[in-house]
Amino acid sequence: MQIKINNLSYTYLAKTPNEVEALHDVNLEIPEGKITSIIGHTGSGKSTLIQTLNGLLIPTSGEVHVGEYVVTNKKKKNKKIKDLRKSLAIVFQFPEYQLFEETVEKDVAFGLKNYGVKEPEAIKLAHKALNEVGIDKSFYKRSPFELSGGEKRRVAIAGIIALNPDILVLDEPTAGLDPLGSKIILSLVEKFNKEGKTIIIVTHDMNIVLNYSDHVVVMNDGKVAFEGTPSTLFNGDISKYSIDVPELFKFVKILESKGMKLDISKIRTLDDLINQLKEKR
Amino acid sequence: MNNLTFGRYSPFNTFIHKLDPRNKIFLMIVLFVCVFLKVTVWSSTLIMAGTLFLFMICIMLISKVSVLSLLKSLGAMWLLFLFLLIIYMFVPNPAYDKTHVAFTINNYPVYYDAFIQWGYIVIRLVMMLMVTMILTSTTKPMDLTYGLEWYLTPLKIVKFPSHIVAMTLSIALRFIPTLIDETNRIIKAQSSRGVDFNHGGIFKRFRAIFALIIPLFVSAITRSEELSDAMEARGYDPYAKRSRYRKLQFHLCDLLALIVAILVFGAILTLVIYNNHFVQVDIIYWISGVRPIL
Amino acid sequence: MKCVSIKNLSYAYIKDRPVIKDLSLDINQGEYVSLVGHNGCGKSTLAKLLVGLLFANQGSIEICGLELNNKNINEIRKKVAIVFQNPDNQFIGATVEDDIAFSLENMNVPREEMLSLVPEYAKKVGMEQFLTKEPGYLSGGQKQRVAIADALIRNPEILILDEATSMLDPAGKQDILDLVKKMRSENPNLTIISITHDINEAYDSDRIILMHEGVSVLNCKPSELFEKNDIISKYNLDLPFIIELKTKIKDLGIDVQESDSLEDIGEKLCK
Repeated sequence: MQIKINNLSYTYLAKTPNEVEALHDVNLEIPEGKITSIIGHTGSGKSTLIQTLNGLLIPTSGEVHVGEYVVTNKKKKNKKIKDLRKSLAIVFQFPEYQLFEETVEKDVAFGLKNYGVKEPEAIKLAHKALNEVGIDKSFYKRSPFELSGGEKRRVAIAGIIALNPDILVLDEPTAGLDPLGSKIILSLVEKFNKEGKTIIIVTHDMNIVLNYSDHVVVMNDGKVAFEGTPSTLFNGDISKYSIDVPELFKFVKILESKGMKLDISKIRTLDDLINQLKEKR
Repeated sequence: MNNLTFGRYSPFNTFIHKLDPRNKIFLMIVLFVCVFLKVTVWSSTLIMAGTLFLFMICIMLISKVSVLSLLKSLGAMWLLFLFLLIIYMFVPNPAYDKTHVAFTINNYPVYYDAFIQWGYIVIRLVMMLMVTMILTSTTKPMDLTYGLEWYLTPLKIVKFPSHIVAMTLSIALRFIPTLIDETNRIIKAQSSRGVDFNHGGIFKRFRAIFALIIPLFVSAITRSEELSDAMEARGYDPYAKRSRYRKLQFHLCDLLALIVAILVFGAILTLVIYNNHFVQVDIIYWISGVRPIL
Repeated sequence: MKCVSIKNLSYAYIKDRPVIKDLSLDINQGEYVSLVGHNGCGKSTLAKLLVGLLFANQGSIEICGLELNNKNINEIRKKVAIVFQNPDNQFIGATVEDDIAFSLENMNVPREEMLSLVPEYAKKVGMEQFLTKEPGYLSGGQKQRVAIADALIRNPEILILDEATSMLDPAGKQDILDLVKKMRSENPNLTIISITHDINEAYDSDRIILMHEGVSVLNCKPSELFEKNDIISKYNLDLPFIIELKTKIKDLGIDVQESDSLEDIGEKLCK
């Protein structure tokens, strides 16, 4: 499913003295089947942007096209929003806070039941999703509140994955996790992508951008400031977007300033750089 | 979300805003008493209430409390007013003047008095609403707590933990916006799992509410545990002697407001006492020379 | 001078499932120590034990020569301040100034003193313009700065940062790290114990203690991480970029020193 955003604007508290324009005339296409990162400092509009994608926020003006679905402020067109939310599912920041059922399997099946899947089938699909996120069978009948933070988060993600969305949007999926927990979540995301899902990750973590993304969108003041591949981004001038440059690219810049010639477009990891250095020797 | 705007603190810097919260609480009580004072002649009571109403409108204008939001909340209460009207019309009351029948429904008489009584209660409710609104929109919730705590201080003699009550209240107030944000977040998260909070049958909505309430409780409990840890680690001991950073101050303007309130109260009280114990003054007759029909 | 001395400490929330096992550790005055390790390794429990929110099952904790127990907990709390992870859940006051004053109120400091101390410490953390602001109007980083001001205003010997930056965005995080640096230069006697997941953050400290299942498995200077690759990979910890770089550059046959910066390595490579 393709995502196409046309002239999208969104204003919070519109027509009141406190109104804030969070998005201003955004035009964007999100590539199908790829992992796209959306970055930008706090308040740049990235969270607002993803919430318009499945109609949690209705645009003040402009349109979002997700496959056959359209999100606009023209009421008649938004009828299928519930179906849209099944095709484009959002995993919010700290999703473990949305757990509420008595058992892990019931919680995962909850979303399915909302879409009319009947009990035995829903539980079966829930087991499949839990298996995919690597939650052991022995947990299925336990309360979700007994799990550790990282496990809870995987259960919450399973609850979304069980809906089998074409597009999966994750808002800060690794926030608050330790490095090991983060790695588990990110490798899951990679796996979902390999299975054909389009992935959108909103993040502050440049390592996710560098090591996991095919495409990156930089938001700044409610506008799209950059769109392209991670290496183009980090090798360009990004000081104006107030985002962190990964250490690797700081080092590449140092080498370049000292006159070393490198094929920058091919550098994604430290090993890529070391290999290029090896060839030079 | 719109319902929450009623009486929400609006950060202006008017005369009323500057008053000491303790004073404001006292003035509120005085006004409440005024609202409930009643004379035996209904026309006088109505005029008294009308004057008080104008007085309160003036305070609202001075303190920049939005009259529009008052009207909105009145609009939200129409069902209550209707309910009261029906009660006054159809519940028999021996105190009604049986000689004046407004109309009959299926031979059941509805008296003019029913409407007058209903009028009293509506005006009173509206005025109470106004007083409360003025108080809460011009006083920071936290200042209100400090004011309340001051009134509760004498209860310390009977070992009533007024400072703990005040601390609990102030923390509850402090966390309201946080919990509203949290609620919005959970609503969005559950909507992404196909929950429809606005449509569907009773059972579905019941499930939807569960999907909201339980996570909200879980998070509130986590928050309260972390908060109590933070308070303890910062040396909070409810039974130890604590100094206070906030100090409430009684200013000149407080005295002024107090005088005005006492004058209003005095005038009303005099009228009431005079009326109930000496001569019944029918203000309408007194001014116009025409005795009202009733 | 020893500031914190932990001897054979054990603690279990549930009987027979200890989170801290026979841990012994010394921290000197003025030292900046990072406690790292995966979730559930016992580091946050240790922090709670250090501020007396929990009491040990076995062993002892001595803080500035004072044994931590139920009796002198109030004395200890004047010496140890802690900043927790969640900025919202430790903001107690209605406004910034009320929150900074909270500890002082608890210590029964006279109001006149508070009136001058509160703005002074707000200024130290760069929040002097926000004194009357309510927490809803502040960013996570700003709330954590307020929490730090409240911690510092007690003039503690030890400041514990329990994942104080983990819920912040990069800008907020950098703010807090800069603030910690500034605090250390202003008060070299302040002992800082920082619990963190961020290995780059830990790399700036004087000592790194790696905890695993309630015991300390590594206790060394950040620069020594260089030689302890095996332990690091055993516990699945990330290495700071510079250490990873140095290891790989070494394999290329270039001589790099512990003290080399990115610039130095670049210089050596370009020769």
